[in-house]
Amino acid sequence: MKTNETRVNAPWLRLDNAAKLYPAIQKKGWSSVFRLSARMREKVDPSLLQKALEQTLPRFPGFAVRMRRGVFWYYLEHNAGTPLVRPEAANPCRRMRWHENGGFLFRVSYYERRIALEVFHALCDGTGGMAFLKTLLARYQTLKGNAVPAADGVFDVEQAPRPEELEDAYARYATSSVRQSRREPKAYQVRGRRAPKNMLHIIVGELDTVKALAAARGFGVTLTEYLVAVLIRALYLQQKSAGKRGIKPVKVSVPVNLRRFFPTESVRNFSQYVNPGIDPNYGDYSFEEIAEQVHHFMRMNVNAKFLNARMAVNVASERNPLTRVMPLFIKKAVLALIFRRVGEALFTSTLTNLGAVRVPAQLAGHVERFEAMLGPSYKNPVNCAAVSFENRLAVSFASTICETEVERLFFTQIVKHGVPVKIESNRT
Amino acid sequence: MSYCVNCGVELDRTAKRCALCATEVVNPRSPVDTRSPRPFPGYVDRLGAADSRFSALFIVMMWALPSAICVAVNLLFHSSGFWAAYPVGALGLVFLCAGLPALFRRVSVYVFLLIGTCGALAYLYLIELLGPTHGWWAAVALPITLAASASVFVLVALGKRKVRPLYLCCIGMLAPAAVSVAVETTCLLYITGAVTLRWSVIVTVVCLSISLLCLAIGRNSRAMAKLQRRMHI
Repeated sequence: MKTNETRVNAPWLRLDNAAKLYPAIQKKGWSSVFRLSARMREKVDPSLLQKALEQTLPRFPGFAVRMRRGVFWYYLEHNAGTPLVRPEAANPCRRMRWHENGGFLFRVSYYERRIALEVFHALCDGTGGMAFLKTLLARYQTLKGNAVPAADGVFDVEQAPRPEELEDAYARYATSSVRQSRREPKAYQVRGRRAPKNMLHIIVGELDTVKALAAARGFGVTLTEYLVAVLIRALYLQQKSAGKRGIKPVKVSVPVNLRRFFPTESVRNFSQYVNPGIDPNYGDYSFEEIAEQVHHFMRMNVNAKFLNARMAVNVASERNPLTRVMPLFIKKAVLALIFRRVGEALFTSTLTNLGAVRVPAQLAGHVERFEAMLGPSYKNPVNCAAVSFENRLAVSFASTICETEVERLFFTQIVKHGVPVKIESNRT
Repeated sequence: MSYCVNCGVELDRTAKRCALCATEVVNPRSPVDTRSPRPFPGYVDRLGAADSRFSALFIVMMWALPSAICVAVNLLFHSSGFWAAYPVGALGLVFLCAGLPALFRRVSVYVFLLIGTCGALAYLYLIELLGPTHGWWAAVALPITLAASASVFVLVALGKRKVRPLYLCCIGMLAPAAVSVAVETTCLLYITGAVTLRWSVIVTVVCLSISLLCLAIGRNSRAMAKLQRRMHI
């Protein structure tokens, strides 16, 4: 058992700017957990997976941590324990209780041919999570006798971790003197009958990446813009069919990987959200019009200067002397209240596209596809995540309501555009 | 492989219905594969109840400390009369109703209701013992407490049978009506010896109206669906 002296001397990390929000807003209905998974070509061996995890974890010190409560901020402290792999449950992305699971803020699970990694968002974003998952898979295959080199995003577990990987990139790059306002009009919120307690309804659609890209190019947009436009259209039609008075804007929150604009090797959080959308009060929108709106919004807002200004606002809030000296229990309550009233009210749903996953050829032959999933959130019951691997694009919907109208409108629109879709679900 | 005739999407071979529109899969050429593993496991992981032990300890401390302070102050500074019995009794009742369920989670809720009822009756008896007037426990406190407890028992039993919320509301609104009639009747019998119901009639009329409204909405599926959407939390 560790002595108090050992615990005091254990290495610790401050939470990065984005991570400071997540412990404050996490509750039963809002887990701040996302999931990345890989479907292998063979059934998973749990004992080998456990060994692979034990060998991978030391390479990622940002994952070998536990959450601790300070007087003014939460912080992360080194966790010398050993996380255990476990069978996957039907309700992924459950809330992470900090005293459970050995104090670890991530879970590795398996089911048939799938290996899944669920991560509390305070540790890292999708890029960081994918680096961990790829390294874990590489280690797993190596233990199976198929050596996988440390390339294409796979970290070398024999190498010591580098301090650059734990950098708070927000603090380094938020240099803009412009404080871009966070005010936006409130968006439409999807409503429906709540799913049974603790349950998350999942629908995964597998698309042909080449055909999806061709469909996107047919509308003159990127794949992400195309998926966002399809989702906006689905939400827009769902709002119309709900028949409520007072039509509100339909917006989708899209995380942007800031590493594209600000180079860093950090595997922690480093993304910013933009909220493209339409306002149906201006009139009926066709799909082409929605795609054009999204395209121009992204062109306008997704650039280094604008993103820096948005980052700067958040970092300035964190650095405000009044914020810093406020005791944590007050800060937590205020942050949670503000985010629940304002944060998620600004968009209708979230769509994250992790892009094309590349792995070394020695690993690619053993992986069938990658999947990503977002955990439940407080106000937005339907969220979407996409990731592609070779020619398979997996679009996953995670929902806390029983109705599937949004998902149905989304996938049927894609089918109408000539892109075949295959559906899998945990809805019985 | 099968496709949904409604949505046009390809379905997993183990799917019995389309996940998007719930259309049943009927494909004689490719029947539903019931032997292969499904895409997702069936086991649902419930969040553990680890926190309740801390809450239970906290509740015990919240009861024990003030009780001890009250008793100590009573004995040391105010030796005439044992007034500490009132706060200690009240805290004891809170402990029985809230602390015990947190400490013993596997015991049936009906046992806790029974313990709570007995605790409430005991506390009221203690007040009668220590107070200036006597005789009201059997005449007033006992019937009112039993009437209130019976209502709670009925509501809990209905809740456990998974009655639809509006029907539960419909029956639930009858409980305050019944309790108000019991309270006014008992009090009037004790004070005047004659029963002339007044305010409990108003309460009963209001509760009955709400109950009938809930019943009417509950029987109308369209109104129900609309209400569920609007009242979604």
